[in-house]
Amino acid sequence: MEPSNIPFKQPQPAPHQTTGILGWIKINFFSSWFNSLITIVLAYTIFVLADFFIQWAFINAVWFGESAKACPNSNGACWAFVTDRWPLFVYGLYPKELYWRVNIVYVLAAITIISFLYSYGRWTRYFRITMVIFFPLLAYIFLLGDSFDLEYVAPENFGGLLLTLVIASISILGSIPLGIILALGRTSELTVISKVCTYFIEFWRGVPHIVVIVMFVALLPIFIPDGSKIDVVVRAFIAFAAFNSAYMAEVFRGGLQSIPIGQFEASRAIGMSYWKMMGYIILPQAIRNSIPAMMNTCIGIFKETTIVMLIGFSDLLGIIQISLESSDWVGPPHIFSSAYTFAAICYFIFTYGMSKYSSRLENRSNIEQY
Amino acid sequence: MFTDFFYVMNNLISFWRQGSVRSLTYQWGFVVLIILTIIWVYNTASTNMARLGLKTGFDFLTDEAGFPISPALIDYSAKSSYADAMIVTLLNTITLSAIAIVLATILGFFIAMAKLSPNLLLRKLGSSYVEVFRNVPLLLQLFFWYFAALKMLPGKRSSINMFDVAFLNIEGFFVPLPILEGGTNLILWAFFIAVLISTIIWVWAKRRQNNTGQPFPSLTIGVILVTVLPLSVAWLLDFPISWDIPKFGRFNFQGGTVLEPEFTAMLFGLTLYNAAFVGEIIRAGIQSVDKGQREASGSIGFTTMQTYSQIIVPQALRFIIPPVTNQYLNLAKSTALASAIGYADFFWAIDGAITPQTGQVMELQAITLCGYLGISLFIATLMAIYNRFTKIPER
Repeated sequence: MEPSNIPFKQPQPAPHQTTGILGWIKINFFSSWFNSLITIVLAYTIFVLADFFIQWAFINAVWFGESAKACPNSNGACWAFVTDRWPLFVYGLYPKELYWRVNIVYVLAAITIISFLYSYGRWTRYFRITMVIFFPLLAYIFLLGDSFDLEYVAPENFGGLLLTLVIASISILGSIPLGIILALGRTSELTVISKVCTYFIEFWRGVPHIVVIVMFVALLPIFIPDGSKIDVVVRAFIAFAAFNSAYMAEVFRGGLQSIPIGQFEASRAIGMSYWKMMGYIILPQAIRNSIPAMMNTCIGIFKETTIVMLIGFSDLLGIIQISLESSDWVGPPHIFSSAYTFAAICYFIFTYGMSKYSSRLENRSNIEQY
Repeated sequence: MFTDFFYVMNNLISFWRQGSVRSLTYQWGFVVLIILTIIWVYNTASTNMARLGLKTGFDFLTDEAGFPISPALIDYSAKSSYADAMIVTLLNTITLSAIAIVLATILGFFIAMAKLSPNLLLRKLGSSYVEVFRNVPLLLQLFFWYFAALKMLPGKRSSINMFDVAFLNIEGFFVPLPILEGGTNLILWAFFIAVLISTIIWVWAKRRQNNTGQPFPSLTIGVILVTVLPLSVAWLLDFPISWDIPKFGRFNFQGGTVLEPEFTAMLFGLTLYNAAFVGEIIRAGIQSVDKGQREASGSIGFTTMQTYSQIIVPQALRFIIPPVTNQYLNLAKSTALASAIGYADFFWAIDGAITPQTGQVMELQAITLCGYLGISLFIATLMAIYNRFTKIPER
């Protein structure tokens, strides 16, 4: 029998309730009476909140002023506080006539970040590597000075966003190599080394960061000959590197464990030594696998930098807190809420950017493009 | 002569090439290196301490502390010893972490539900909550609650009145305090007996279901037992619990108890911050269960409740528990930030009060580390025990 003789049913269009903009609205907002109720209640709440926020942040806000007297009414934000202290928030106590050096570093940092966001053909890779190697060097030269006829600026004068970024990048860059070494040690077959690394990692992961920082600042001079000559800033950096490397080590251990055992066995079988196996076969794959988790740790490190204000540094949050308590701006709590909103937006821009970058890396199907 | 030399060298090389010999050498070398480092650090430390004239020893623990601690769960006065001060503040830390963990888990559960809801608005609301609270530093959030939000509350005379039993104002949250009269012990006993009986029923039901496949509503019966038994005992005893409700007197509130703004701010900050993480973990856990599982349980006639309680949750829990444990540990550790807003926690007592008074940095740091490591270890052990229950027995 010829199949064409069977009376086929013609394909029907999908029921119109499930397609088009109306279908989409029905599925997402009004799929049941309960959902409709939620939609209506939420829409009203969001409208009220958005209205309040716009009134607070834009319409009733005070944008310019020199002291707390400029913001008498509590129904509007006090952005005058931010605009008045802006240079302090961005540059800290860096000498005013040397702001251009910080600006150069900011521009270089922006170029480095952008070079990682977009791909531009075969030069991409070389440019990224160049920036990764030279940016820290240039940043060091420009920020600290003391060479190439640049005036020396002590690290105590760093502050605000500058200090936050410096601490975050040093902790991140320092903890990655230390973390790899610790992770290799922990997964090592040599029992003693693996045990020592395990205890080291678990110890740092078990104690609060603020305790570690206070401990390093107070105790490092006792444990090292001439330790009191080590700058407080450097002590804080060492503390940050110590516990963050423990967190990084766990990230890399996850990456190492994701490598199938066949990779180890195959490289052993073709006669590679331990270091060649790790360097050429295992680590490149393991590091690539652990990049998303690493980005999460980096976000954590960035947020953790705020605790340096508790040992008297003026990072972004610290300098905002100091300014809030200064004689010009000490005042009603609504100035505090505006200042914290500003700080939250600053931190949010960086952390949210990092998390978006990491999810982009995760979603990218072609792993070679990392 | 030369042949002898080569013979010896060859033997040495092949001796060295044995894996066990090399690994032993490396490990012993490492041990020696560590011991040398410890000796060196110890020596420098003792020279430095002698030079700086630091006192050592733990004798100071019995000295009079001389500072008040505001929320004190056990008897404490300024005349108590340093050791007492540490215990009181350690209890504060533990209480704060425990309450925050419970609240963050409950809120996190609701966030996960919101993010899994079919309603787009609710989903977006859930994810914006997560993004905002997860991406802003905890310390900043604590500052916000303490210095901005709680300071906007009205003064004592115009406090926010909640049904005439609780009052919220700038000096804290005044809540009723239960007063236990005679016979409360009996109610507690009834509660424990109910818990015991339900556990026995649960074990029996589980064994019967494993053997015969017959289900038994042990959870429902357990909940009924645990609520009804203590309540009926309380009814028989004419409800021996009364509430001490705060009342505004001439100048101040009388009766009840007060949650200080420091505690409230810590609780708000810790709960809201960690709930974002817990919510993401729970959502990921539920989504990690394969879609086919849900479809299969639907096709054999399970109701939604049964699908969740019998199929999805047991599998999701195995995924959820390790990261959630990590989050609980983070929460417990971050209570140390309480010293920034002046809540009397363990680290506040040691770093802010005892260290300046005694100057014995080394011993105090050691005690701090031990205290926090102890808390971390305790939580990790509890979660490991719980994890053993949820794990699928491997055959």
